[in-house]
Amino acid sequence: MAEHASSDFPAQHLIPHGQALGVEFVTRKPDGRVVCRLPWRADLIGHAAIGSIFSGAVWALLDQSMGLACMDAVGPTRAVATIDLRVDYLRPSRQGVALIAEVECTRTTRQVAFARGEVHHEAASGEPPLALAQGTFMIYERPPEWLGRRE
Amino acid sequence: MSTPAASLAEDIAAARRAEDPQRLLQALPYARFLGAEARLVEGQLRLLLPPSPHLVGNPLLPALHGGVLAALAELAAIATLLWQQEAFALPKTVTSTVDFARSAGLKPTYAEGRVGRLGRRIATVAVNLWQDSAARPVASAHTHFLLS
Repeated sequence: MAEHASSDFPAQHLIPHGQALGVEFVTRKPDGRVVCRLPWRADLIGHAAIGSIFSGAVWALLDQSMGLACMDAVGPTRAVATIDLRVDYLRPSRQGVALIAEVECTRTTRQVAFARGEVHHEAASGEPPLALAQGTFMIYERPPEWLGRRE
Repeated sequence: MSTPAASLAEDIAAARRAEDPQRLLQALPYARFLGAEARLVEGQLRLLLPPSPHLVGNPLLPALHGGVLAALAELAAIATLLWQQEAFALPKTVTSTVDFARSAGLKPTYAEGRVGRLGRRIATVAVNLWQDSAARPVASAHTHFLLS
């Protein structure tokens, strides 16, 4: 696994809910794709009978990862907010295995950023994805008082 | 810990006997992680999420994380299906689409699900999420579940 939590990536450390979930920024690939990781934890599961991380947590992981990819795409003076996001849950995840989100901002217009992404088990190359997502994000100018607080 | 599979059915039955849907939510670890509560309001199941620092997505506004609202919506949909006894095992989420209407502040958030299509295998639940007034939703969700 690549290095975690690169400190030069915007906003990651300013998201309390992401920290509460345990979302880790893994890397930004040269083509702009963003990779984040969500370690399995017993308090994140839907029900003890299944042991899978709750679908809503997968949704949050994708929202945050896609938001980061879009923030990266729109540059430091602008920020994004989710307009809508759809997640298809293809199959349940396994108990005890970390989830990896790999997402990309597919296009930005003047006001809207488009993104898509998927989630798979860590170290599971060749396995079909667990979840697929598609979303749109509103772009807005970052208020001047936020600019000093990105890192 | 009791046998998990048995305990969910028992939790549903016990919660219904006590007319206390909160007992249902307590069986769901993620609901406890968020701090979600369930109540009956005029016979309708309503979820309440009290504000808490760990739910914040943007601390500068501050605003709740979109993932918090999506998870609350899924929990409301699942709890509605279980409470209405349309499902006896945990319904599996197939798709979840959330539309955000306005920024959700750091204050109490409410969610109510309405079961639309209810087939033998698939259930559709629409969820309205609001803070100050149900007529001014902060988000709405459209969810599909597999009833196993």
